[in-house]
Amino acid sequence: MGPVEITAYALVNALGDDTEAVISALERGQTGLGRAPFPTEVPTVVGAIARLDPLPATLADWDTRQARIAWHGVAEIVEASQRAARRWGASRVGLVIGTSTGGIGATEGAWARWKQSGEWPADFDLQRHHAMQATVEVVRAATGARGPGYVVSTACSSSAKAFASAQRMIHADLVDAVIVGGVDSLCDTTLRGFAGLELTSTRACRPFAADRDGISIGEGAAFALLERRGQGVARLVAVGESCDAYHLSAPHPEGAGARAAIEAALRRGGIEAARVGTINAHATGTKLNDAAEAKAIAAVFGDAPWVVATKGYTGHMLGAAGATEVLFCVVALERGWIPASLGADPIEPGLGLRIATMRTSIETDYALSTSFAFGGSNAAVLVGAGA
Amino acid sequence: MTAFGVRTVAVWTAERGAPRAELLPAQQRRRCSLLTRMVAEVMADLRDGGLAIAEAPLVCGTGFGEIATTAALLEQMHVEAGGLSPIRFAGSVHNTAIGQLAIAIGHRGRSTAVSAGVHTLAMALVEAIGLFADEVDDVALVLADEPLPAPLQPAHDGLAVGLHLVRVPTPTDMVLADFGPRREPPPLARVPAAIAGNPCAAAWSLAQSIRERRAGTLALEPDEPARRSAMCIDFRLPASG
Repeated sequence: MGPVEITAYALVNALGDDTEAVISALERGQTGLGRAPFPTEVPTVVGAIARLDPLPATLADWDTRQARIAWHGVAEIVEASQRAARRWGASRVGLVIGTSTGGIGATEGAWARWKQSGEWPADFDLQRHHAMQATVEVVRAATGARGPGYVVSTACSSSAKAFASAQRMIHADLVDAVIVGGVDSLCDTTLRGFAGLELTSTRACRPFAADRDGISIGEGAAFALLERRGQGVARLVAVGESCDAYHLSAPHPEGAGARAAIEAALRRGGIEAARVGTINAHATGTKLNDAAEAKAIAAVFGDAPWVVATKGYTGHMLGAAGATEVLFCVVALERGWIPASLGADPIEPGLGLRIATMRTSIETDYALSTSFAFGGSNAAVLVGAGA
Repeated sequence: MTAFGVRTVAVWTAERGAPRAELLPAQQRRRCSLLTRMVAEVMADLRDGGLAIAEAPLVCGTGFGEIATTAALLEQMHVEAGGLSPIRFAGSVHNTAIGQLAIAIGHRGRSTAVSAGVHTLAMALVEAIGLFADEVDDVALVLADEPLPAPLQPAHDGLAVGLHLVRVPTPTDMVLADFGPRREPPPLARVPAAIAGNPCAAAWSLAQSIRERRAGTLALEPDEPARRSAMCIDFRLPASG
């Protein structure tokens, strides 16, 4: 399956409310982690988007935190998407969006009001506020895309796997372009859920650090426009996917599934490991995840490529993490640098990786992003420099 | 245009009784949701029909996923302070069923969970067709939604439909062809009232058409005003039929 072009992209998260603001914060080494935007009893820091305006009046019935992030997140590629619709036809532009939370934050609120009043809130609509597909419909309304549209929901690998689905959709000739990405929103369900697993840190997460002690949750959106042909800023080369078949919420200790996904990406892309200059690691900041991932990366690449962990900037955006970090790889290829791995220093001895602890210039044609999830779902996305 | 075959079809509804989910070891099965057990039940049927379920890519389409587990978490949030049940939380993601199955049967290849509301059947077929374009020969496609827990509405029964899809049909396979959007699509086929509100209800109609070997065109989703069309697919009888 051949590469497809990445002709436009957009990022919104705790680092900033547009792509350049996000990239600027990465370049300066400035974290976006801070206090949660709502009351929570979980003692942790999060990556929250500072300002989210309501949806336009015509979409008021769809207005949730998740929908606002989707609407705001896709805004910068609306013009490119409409250009693609004119080029290929609106029904030949599809949508594949990864999300894990969907609108659960809105359902939390409805559930609380029901418990307090005894009546289910009349203004809560399960399809428009809770369902995964609501995110797709909001992005459809923003962009005018009329092709097939759906959510990939495999927890924290969701939006990395969305790239695989989008590439296949183009290759199958069902569409010529796809708006692909990920959206997830902060809510108390995820904060208290990860706290129940004893995985949240009380401070900013420190992936790969010797004293790392857990994750920081974040929210955000990342979107790319993929086209069959065009003047791409980068290319989606291949995606490798695998399943651990080991445990629902813990990685295989040797990183076997992670390694299989990475090797599948390289094999499917026809690219030797030595040609990959940088890897944006999943690197959540938990003891088990980072150790297993390090084994997988070291087994395939040794310590040759620069490895960077970016969740110290954004927090773990769950269903939006994969797409965000794929696009951080695109930034690295376009601009020739990778950011410092915030919080990684001092690095845990013996990981066997070449981890960037400061902003580092790179010169490479290929970058890889890894994503791993509950259910043992793994994805590795290989991107190449634009022509 | 796209054409592919259907080798085996499996349906679980409440009329079959509680899913035995024999693919899952007893200890694992006891901790699994109804949704996961429904998925395991139809996957066992596909295995019995000859599908190598540990090797074939698995696509699970579900509108609301682990909604009963999610509701239990929301209730726990309301009545208790502190962290949520780790087993429930880890089991609340949309890909729980395929993750549990993978552990039980040793599936280490590609699997995914997709969701598209009432379009879930049509979009899960998009995913399967994408895999065929990637030279995959067999796909296990499962469409499943469990009942919505109160107070969520509309009330409906659980439904799981499993399809063993093949890239290259043999003369005995039913053929599905010309998948795509159609203007003026045929009306959605009627389904039993108990599953009418289930996001995967259209999969029941698809299964019926295959079982009854009905040639013709089937609408896979409601007519979509924004797109002024609906995804449809044609049925062709097996060459030997």
